[in-house]
Amino acid sequence: MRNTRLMLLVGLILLFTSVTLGCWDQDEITSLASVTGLGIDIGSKPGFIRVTVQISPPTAGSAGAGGGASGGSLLRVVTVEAESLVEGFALLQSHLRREPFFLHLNYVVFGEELARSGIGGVIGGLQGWTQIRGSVLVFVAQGTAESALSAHSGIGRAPGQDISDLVANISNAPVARKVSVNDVVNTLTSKGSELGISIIELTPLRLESGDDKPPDGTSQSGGQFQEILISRLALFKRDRWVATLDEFETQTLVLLLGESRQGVGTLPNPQDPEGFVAPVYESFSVGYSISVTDDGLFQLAIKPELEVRLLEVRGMYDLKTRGFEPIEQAVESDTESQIRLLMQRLQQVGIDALGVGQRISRTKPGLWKEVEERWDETYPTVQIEVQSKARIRTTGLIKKFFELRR
Amino acid sequence: MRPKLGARPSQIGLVTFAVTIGTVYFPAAGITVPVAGTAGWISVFLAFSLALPLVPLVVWLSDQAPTGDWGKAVQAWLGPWLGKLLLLFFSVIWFWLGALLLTQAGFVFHAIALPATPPIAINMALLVLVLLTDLKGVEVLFRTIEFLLMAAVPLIIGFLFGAIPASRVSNLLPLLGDGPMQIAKASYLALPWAMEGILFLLFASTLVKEKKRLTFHGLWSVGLAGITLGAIIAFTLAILGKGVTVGYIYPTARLIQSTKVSDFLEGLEIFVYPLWVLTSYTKATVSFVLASESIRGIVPVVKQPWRTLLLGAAFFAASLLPDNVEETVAGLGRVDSSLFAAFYAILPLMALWVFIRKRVKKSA
Repeated sequence: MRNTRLMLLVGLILLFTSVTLGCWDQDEITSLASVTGLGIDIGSKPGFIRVTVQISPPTAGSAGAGGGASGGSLLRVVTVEAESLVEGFALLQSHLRREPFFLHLNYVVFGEELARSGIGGVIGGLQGWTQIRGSVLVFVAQGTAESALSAHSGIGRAPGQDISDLVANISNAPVARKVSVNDVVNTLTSKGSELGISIIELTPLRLESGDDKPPDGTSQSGGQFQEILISRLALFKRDRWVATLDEFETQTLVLLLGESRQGVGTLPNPQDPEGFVAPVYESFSVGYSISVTDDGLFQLAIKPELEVRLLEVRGMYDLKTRGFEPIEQAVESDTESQIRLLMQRLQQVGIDALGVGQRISRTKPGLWKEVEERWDETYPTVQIEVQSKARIRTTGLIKKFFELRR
Repeated sequence: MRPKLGARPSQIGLVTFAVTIGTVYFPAAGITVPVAGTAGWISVFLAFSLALPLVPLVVWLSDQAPTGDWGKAVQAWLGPWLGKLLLLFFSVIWFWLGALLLTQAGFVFHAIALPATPPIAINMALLVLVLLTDLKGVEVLFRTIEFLLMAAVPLIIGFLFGAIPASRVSNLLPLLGDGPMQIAKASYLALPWAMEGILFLLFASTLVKEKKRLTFHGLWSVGLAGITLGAIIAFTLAILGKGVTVGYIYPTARLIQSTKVSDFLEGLEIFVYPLWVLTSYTKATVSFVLASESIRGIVPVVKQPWRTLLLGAAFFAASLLPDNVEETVAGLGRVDSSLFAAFYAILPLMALWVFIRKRVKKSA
């Protein structure tokens, strides 16, 4: 009986110690500055970086007030210059009056100049900072990261809200990649694949009468609203941004990487060349196989399989007499040509953003050991074969497509 | 003589499982993946498979000695002098392992959860519980671990299931990692982890009367511990990727931060921080009790509470020796790959010695 009591006592003490912080680590939520976005740019002095953070300090009275109603912005953007991230985070405290807290960090944005000169140095700092999760997403900014973090569209309550909203929605369409700090580390510490990171772009927003002030009337008062978009992809050669994919190439790459299983296309109407059909890819899956040709070259066979919902047809198309087959063939041919164009582009710039080398290393490790060191020269010579298969699954209950009678 | 431990074989199996996993799940990927690459998890399966035949051997050994006293059992196998020598060796390796585990508990919790709390404060708090358990005896040790296991199992399961959605199977390829030779090397590094469980089973088996089905429960406990460790390494690789995994001493710490449970829970700290406390206590206490019981076998005149207090003071002093986590991990590696690995030779030789002595006695 005594032993049972003791056992329970020891167990309870252990359980309590696991959930109770000691006095040394006592942190009230009001003493922390929760960083939701982090931007890193090249500094104004040689060897320096500009560290920008978006913070959401808990404000007295804001709870239950619907945020912003109390007159205080929910997010603030603060920038410091330092030689390292560690120093930058320390300097931030003189601005924030609170300790920066990174466990709620949503994303990291690298400024264009830094990304073009190499992000390897700062990645080491991010990897070492215990509070920064490896799953934090990484973006590059066209221009400076500071401007991306400060930009305000007027839709979200405060700067940064727009980027968070975009991040939350990019998994629904193949318009961008979700690349994490872990992905960057894995890519840069091995050969056989290169980084492709989504670009945050800003364009001046055309103001409508209802948008002339932010809803809370405080943030960016009088400042230019910006439209914040993510649609293109920065291609890296190791840690440097060297080329850019447009929005269409980006979509193809995202689908090929299997990071989105849904997509869209616009292709000529097989019956009426002046019109077009716009299929929605409800399922896009890709198979890869790698072989070596007789003359010693690698051959990559890309075999996408698409299941299509056909919703929009412009021009004449008689579904009853022609059936689905011509459209399926058109989808297959369009898909193959998009993939060929993308691969041609990637091989031209010598950037293995599809990770062909990694695919070889996974399926043919012996062969990979032979080519790993000269992969940069080998990659542009890889022969690409594309063979797609499309199946129209539904027309969304439409029996006869719209046809204008003149 | 009345057996000191009133545990059933299934309970011995449960506790052996907890002891075998111990705190190894934290650095396991960081040790095997840099050597075997993506086959790190296979190397652990291989190591534990190789260790399993020793389970029936230790149960057989325990059957060849009087029940209820570890020190007397060892001396019954090897004779008084050789037995005392082995007990000394046994106490030294468990003492040193336990002290390093105590150090590790403080350093890791300081690094991942309590950065402002000095590791020594965490070590002292844990040491109080360790000493208290040893003072109360083996029965309390077993019952406490059993009780804690009930809390730990849901945490382990929650941790593994939470990790599934974030996994990428392609990160586990190529299946054979850096090749069979490297897998063999990584297996060698994992062999001592299984041996720690087997030696604990040897100790526990000498304390219980009921040995029927002890082999079965020993086999599943060590086997399941190997499978669990292999699964944790596989999940670590599948979520973090090889590049990130090899960059950390304790990749599991990074894993718990990088895992997302749906959209409502970022990170699995809630499962793993309590688990770290529970497992650190379990392994450090088992090490301490095994060292303490071995010393009792050598010098029975040192009575309680003096044995626990003197050993506790030395334990704490030894835990202060490593200056940082890197030294601690290096120390653990040395203890494991030399002293514990040596039992892969010692145990069969010991069994052979006991077998021959038994035959000689019989024929005489």
